[in-house]
Order: sequence, then structure tokens, then C-alpha cells
Amino acid sequence: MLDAAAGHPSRVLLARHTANELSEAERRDLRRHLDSCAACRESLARMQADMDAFEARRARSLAGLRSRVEKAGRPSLFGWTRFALSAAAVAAAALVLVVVVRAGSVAEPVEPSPVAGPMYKGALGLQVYARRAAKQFRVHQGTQLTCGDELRFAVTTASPGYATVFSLDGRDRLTPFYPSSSPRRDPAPLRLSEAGRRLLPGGITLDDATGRERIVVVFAARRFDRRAVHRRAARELRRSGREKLSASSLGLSGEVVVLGIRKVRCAE
Amino acid sequence: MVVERLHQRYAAQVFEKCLRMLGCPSEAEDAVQETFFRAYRALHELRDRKAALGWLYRIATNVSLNMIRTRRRKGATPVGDSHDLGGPQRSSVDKLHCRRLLERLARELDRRSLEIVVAHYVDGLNQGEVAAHLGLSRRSVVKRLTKVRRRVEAMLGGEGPHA
Repeated sequence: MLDAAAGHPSRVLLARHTANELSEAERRDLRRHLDSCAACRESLARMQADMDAFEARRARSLAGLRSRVEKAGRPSLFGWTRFALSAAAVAAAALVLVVVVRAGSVAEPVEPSPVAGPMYKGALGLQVYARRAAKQFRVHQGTQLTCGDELRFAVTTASPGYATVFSLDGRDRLTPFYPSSSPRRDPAPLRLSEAGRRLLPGGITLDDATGRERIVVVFAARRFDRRAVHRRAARELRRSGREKLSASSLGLSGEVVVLGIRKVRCAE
Repeated sequence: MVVERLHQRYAAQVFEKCLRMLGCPSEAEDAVQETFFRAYRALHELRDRKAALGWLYRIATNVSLNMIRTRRRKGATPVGDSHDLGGPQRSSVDKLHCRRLLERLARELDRRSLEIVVAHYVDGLNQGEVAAHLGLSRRSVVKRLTKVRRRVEAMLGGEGPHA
């Protein structure tokens, strides 16, 4: 991470050095650079001096942080989230039922407890949370939603692997949520590097289309082609008309969870 | 609590960064607390604990920029103009390493461009690292930096950074 333009290490690298987080190779490169660069030695010494100056403030800073955390309660589900889906996704989503939006501009409700709901099957879990005005609630099978509701998704897996989350509306229109890019352009699924529960970044705002809709998460230990999975899932859901889907019907060894919702007309 | 462990491990580094941007120790201390509080609210976004310092740096950038803007709105005087912002810097826009210029840019640039400016000129990341740090394409980083450079050159055209 030496600055390629001028050969100086970045401040981030120096900071990582002070936190003792450099790899052996990085440390060796940095040491070599410092041996020959007085400006960087001075810069590092100054950084260290400024960091040392914090020690007198550390206890007060931590106490202040604790106090704010206690007052704030549990972390918000919607607050401080970043709009994380690509422009391509917005374009794709605009064709169907949703648009993706920023979150965090509204008062921040408390994250609902991650209890197991009826959409759990096997080790794969899908939790969907909705926010409507100041109200936040968990979405279950059959929950009625309306335009403007903001949704966020949490996926739980028992192992690392690959996943895709998408929705199929009453008119058989499929919208990729995660990854949000068009599968035609990028057929790779979302890579989950660790087991456990993760709140997926960004959110979805429902548009004014109405009717039944199914939100699907597909998980497999091995990488798969989203195009094929989406195509087969749409076909199977259309055929069965139910909120059930097997991984084998998608040609996968993995798990699938389907959550059915109803979208009702927007209040004027 | 995770955020306390992060504070114990990285607060000094975050303080140093905020001090570099703000130039005032008491403001930097406030910025540290705000940074870790925001981190607490956004812990679900931290996927890789090994990347925690970079993530905190990014939050600290935004917190410090907000404070710079607020300071301007309140009409307060910028502090520590002579303080080295970016270390042994190297670019053709060396004048950017002047806090007063950063304050001017904070008023004029959009949030994303400011993040890029701080990551590149203040934190010293190269273009590829800025792109990775902010989750942008390298092309977009280069484009924005070129625009900023032009803006700075125009800004400094006749008036100098302390105007």
C-alpha cells in the first residue's frame, strides 16, 4: 500500500502500522522505506505523538461513548445504512416493482428481535423487515404491504456459500435484489464468506404495483448461475402457485426459502 | 461490547486522523466520540473485522467534514492552518494540504467528491486504493479527482489558498 505515485506510504498504512496490523511483508517494505525517507519518519513520529496525546482523553472519550450507547438503546436496523445497490440494479428494478432507496433519513426504530419465524426452513433463514413512516415491523407470510414501504433483508446460513435473493410478482415479473445487477450481465450469485446471520446492505422501497408477490432466497454451498436459477424458480413457482420451492427443482444442492406477501393499493 | 473493543483498539488512530482534519484537539475528541457512536449504530455494515480501521477512517472523514461545515456556518475561525494535513505529500496539488482549502472545498464539493479528496490527499491513498476504500470504480475516482484538481486550480488562480 505504498503510494504508487510517489513511493510514500499512505496515512492509513502508517495507522495500521501503529495498530500493529501489518503483515510481515508490509512491515518489511515500510521499514525499508522509513530507513531511507526522513519525511515519512517525521510523519510517523508526529502521528505517534498525536496518538499519544489522546491517552489523556481516552477514559473520558470511552465514558462518553458508553453513555450515548446506553441512551440510544439497541442499534437501528435502518439508521446509517448505505445505499448499496448499483445503478444497474435501479434501472432493472424500475422496470418492475421496486426502487432501491437510501435509508436513514427517517427516525430510527429499534431492530426487531431475530426470532425464528415461519419462513425458516432447515438452516437457511430469511428475515424481512419493513418500515412504514415511523413504524417498523417484521414481515411474515401473508403480511400486507403497500407502496412506499421500505424493506430490509437478513439472511442466516449454517455455512459459507452463495445466495441470491429475488422477488416474483403476480405478473411473473422477476426482480433481482441480491446481487442487484442483471443476471444476464452478471450471473454470479452473492458470496457469503461466513456462516451466520447478516443484514444485507441497502434496502428496497415498494412501488404501487399490487397483488401477490413472492420473495425468494436460494442458498447453495457451491457457486451457481443466477440466470438458470431465476428461470427455473419462476417456472416452478408459476406452475405450483404455492409459497414452496425445492432446491432440487432448481438443479441445486442447497436450500430455498419463499416468503409470500400481499401488496395492497396505496393510500391516496 | 464490540464498539468498546473497537474504541480501545483504534480510538487513538481515529483521534489522530480527526486532529489532522480539524486541527483542534477538543474538536477531534468530539469527532472520535461521534465516529464510534456512528460505528455502533452501523456495526451490521462491518463485514470484515480486519477492515475495521479503514471503515472507521471513512466514518471519521464524514464526521470531520460535517464539523468543518458546521464550523463555517457558525462563522468560527478555522484552526491550525499550518498543521500538516497529509504528511510528505507528493501530488501536483500540494496546496490542497492546507486546511483552509479543505474547508473551502467542503462548502463547494458534493459528499462523494469530498470523500475522495480526503482519502487521496489527506489519507494518502493512491487512486486504486481510494476506489477500493470507497467501493467505487477507479475510473470514477480519476474523473472526480481531475474535476477537483481543475476546481482547485481555478480557485487558486488569483487568490491563493487563504482567500
